[in-house]
Amino acid sequence: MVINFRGETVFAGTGRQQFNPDQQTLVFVHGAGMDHTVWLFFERYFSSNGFNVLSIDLPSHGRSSGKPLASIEAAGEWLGELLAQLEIGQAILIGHSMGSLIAFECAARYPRSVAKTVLLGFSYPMTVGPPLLEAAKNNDPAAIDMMVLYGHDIRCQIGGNPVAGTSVINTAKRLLEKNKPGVLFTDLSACNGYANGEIVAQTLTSPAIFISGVRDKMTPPRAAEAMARKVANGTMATVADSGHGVMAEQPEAMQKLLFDAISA
Amino acid sequence: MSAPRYLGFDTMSLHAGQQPDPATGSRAAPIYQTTSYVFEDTDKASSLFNIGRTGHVYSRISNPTVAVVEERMAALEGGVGAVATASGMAAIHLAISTLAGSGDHVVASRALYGGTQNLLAYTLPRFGIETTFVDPRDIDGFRNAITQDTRMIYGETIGNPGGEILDLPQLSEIAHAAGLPLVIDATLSTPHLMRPFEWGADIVVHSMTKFIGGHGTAIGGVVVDAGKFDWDLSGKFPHITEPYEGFHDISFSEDFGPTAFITRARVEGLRDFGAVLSPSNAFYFLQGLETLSLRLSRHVENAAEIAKYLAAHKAVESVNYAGLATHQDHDLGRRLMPRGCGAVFSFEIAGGGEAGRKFIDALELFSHLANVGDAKSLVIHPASTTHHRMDRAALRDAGISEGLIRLSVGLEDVQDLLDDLARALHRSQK
Repeated sequence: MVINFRGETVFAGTGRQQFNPDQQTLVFVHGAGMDHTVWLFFERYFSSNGFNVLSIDLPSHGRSSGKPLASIEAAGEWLGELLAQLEIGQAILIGHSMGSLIAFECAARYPRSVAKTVLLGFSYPMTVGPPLLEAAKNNDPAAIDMMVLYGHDIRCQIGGNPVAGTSVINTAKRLLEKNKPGVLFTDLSACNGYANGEIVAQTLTSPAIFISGVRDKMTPPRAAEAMARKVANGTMATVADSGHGVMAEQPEAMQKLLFDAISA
Repeated sequence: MSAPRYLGFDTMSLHAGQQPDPATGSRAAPIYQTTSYVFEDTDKASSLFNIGRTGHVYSRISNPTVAVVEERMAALEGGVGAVATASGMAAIHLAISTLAGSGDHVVASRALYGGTQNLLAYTLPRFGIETTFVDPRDIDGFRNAITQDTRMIYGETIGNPGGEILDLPQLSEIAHAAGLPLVIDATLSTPHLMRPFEWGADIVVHSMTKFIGGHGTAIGGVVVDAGKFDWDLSGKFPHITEPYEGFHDISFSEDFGPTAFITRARVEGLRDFGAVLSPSNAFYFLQGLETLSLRLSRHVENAAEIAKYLAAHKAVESVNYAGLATHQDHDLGRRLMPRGCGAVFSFEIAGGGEAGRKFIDALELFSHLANVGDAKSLVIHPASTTHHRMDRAALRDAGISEGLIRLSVGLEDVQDLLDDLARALHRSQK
C-alpha cells in the first residue's frame, strides 16, 4: 500500500491482505540501505495468520519517496507520527539493525502507539567503522562489499540457502546497489551517531525482545544482551548459525522466534 | 577485524550452495531422489504454498540436490538466483517465455546454435513471438531492429559455429537504453572464461550439458538472473510488475525485489511448463563444476594450439577462432575473455563438403557426434547436422558453408590430437 505522509509517499508491504481493525498490527522496519523485501516471508506468513502487516520502506528506500532520515531520533519520530496517522492502535514494531534502533527510539517516544518491540541485530552504540563510513560517503562499491561480508556469516557466502536456488549474498548486494547516492552513508551515519540509547533504556516500559545471530560480527550478541538487561522488560534470544542477516540466513529459525516473540 | 574478502571462484566451484548434509554429514551433495517432502505440520504446509515460509514442496518446483547446482551457478555467475532445467533448450525457452508472450518480439544475433535458431525462427512464431535476426557484429543493426514490441536482445557469448564474439558492453547499452534486458547464452564460455553480468548482461542461460557437466553424461540447463534489471522502470513487463492472479496476486518486482525474474521463472515457468532438472543429473553437474577451472584451462590451452596448427595448414582455408590474432574479434575476445576464447571453433577445409566428409571419416580420436564441451574431443559438420534445417540463405548469413567443420577440443594430450588432425587432413585432400 502507498501512504501519503508528510508530503511524500511511503510504501508498505501488507502481504496483499486488507487491513482488519480487529487484528494486531505488526510494523517491520528494515536496516541500512535495505527495503521491505527483506521481510517477504514474514510479511506473508503473519498477514495470513491473524495479523495486519506493514513492512515499510523508509524514506528514499525501496518504493518510498523523500530524503533519507538523518538521525535515529528523527526516524523514530517519523515512525511514531506515521503510526499515529494510520490509526492502527498499539502496534508491535519489528526492526532489523538500523531498523531496530528506529523501533527502539520510537517505542520510547510513542509508548501509547507501541505494544512491544522485537529488535533483530541490535547493538548500542551501533558504531560504524571509519573505512565503511568513508567508503559509503564516497559512494564507493567497497562499502557494499563491507556491508555484505561483515553482514553475513561465511557459511552464508558458501550457501545452502533455504530459498531454493537463490544467493543471499548477491541479493543483499543488489539491494544495496539500488540505493541512490548518499542514502547508505546517511543511514550508516545515523546508526553511528545515535546517542540516545541510555535514555531510551531508562524510559522504555513495553516489552523489548532482542534477537541476535550468534555469529553476528556487526552487532555481536553481547551488545544486545547488555541492553536487554538494562530495559525494564527486556529479553534476549539468539539464532544459531547466523550472522547479522538473521532473516535471510536462518528464515525458519527466525520465523519461530518471531512467532514466539509476537505471541508472548 | 581483517578486511573482508569474497571466497574465490575455484573455492565456490567446489562449495557454493552446499553445507554438509545436516541429516547424515555427507560431504558430497546427496541425490535427493524424491518427488515430494513431508510437511512438518499443517501450518508449514499452508505457509509453503503461500510463500510464507521456506522449504521444498514438490520436485518440479524445487529439489535439494538441484538447488545446490542452482545456487552454485548463481554464485559463479554473480547472480541473485538460478533455475536449473531439463536441458539447455529448456533453459532458453524458460528465459524467453518468462519475458515474452504473444505479440512480443525478440532481437537476436544471427550466430546461434541451430536448436536456438529453430526455436526463434520456427517454433516461437507459432506462439506469437517473432524474432528479427541481426549480424552479431552489426551493433547498429540491433538498435534498428528494436520495435515497441521487443522484449529482449538475445545472443551467444561465442557464436556457434562461427566463433563470433558478441560485444556485450555495447549491446547492453543498446538494450538498457530501450528498457530491455540482455539475455545471453554463455554455454561456450562458462563463468570461468567470462561472467556476462560483469559486461552488462541481465540474464544468462547455459546448456550445462556442455562444459559445466564436462563429461558428456547428462542433459541439463540453467537460467541465471543478475537481479540488476529494473522491471518497474522499463514498464514493458506488466506480468513481472503487476499483481499476478495466477500466483497469489503477487507483484514479483514489488514483493521479491532483485529476485523478481528468477522467482517468476520458477513459480510459473517450472510449475506450468515443468521442464525441471532431475536430481540425478544435478549430481553429475555438481561433479563437473568441481573441476570447471581445471578443465577449462586445459580445454583452452589445447584449443589455442590446435587453432594455430590449423591456421598454418595448407588444407585449411580459414580458422574461426577468436584466440587467433588474425580473427576479426580477437581484440574483443581478449578483452572480454582474457583467459581464452573457449574450445569450440570451426574451420573451413579446402575442397568443400566432400573434403569435409573425408576428413571426419578419417579421424580416430575426435568423435563425430552432436555435442560440444565433452572432456573428449568432438567434431561435426554443421551444414548437414546441427544446422541442417536452415536454408542456404540462412546458412550463408550464419557463416556456415559446406566445407565448415566444427571442433570441440578436449583434454587429451595435444600432440595426439594434432597427429589425428594431420592424418585426417592429409586423407581429406586425396
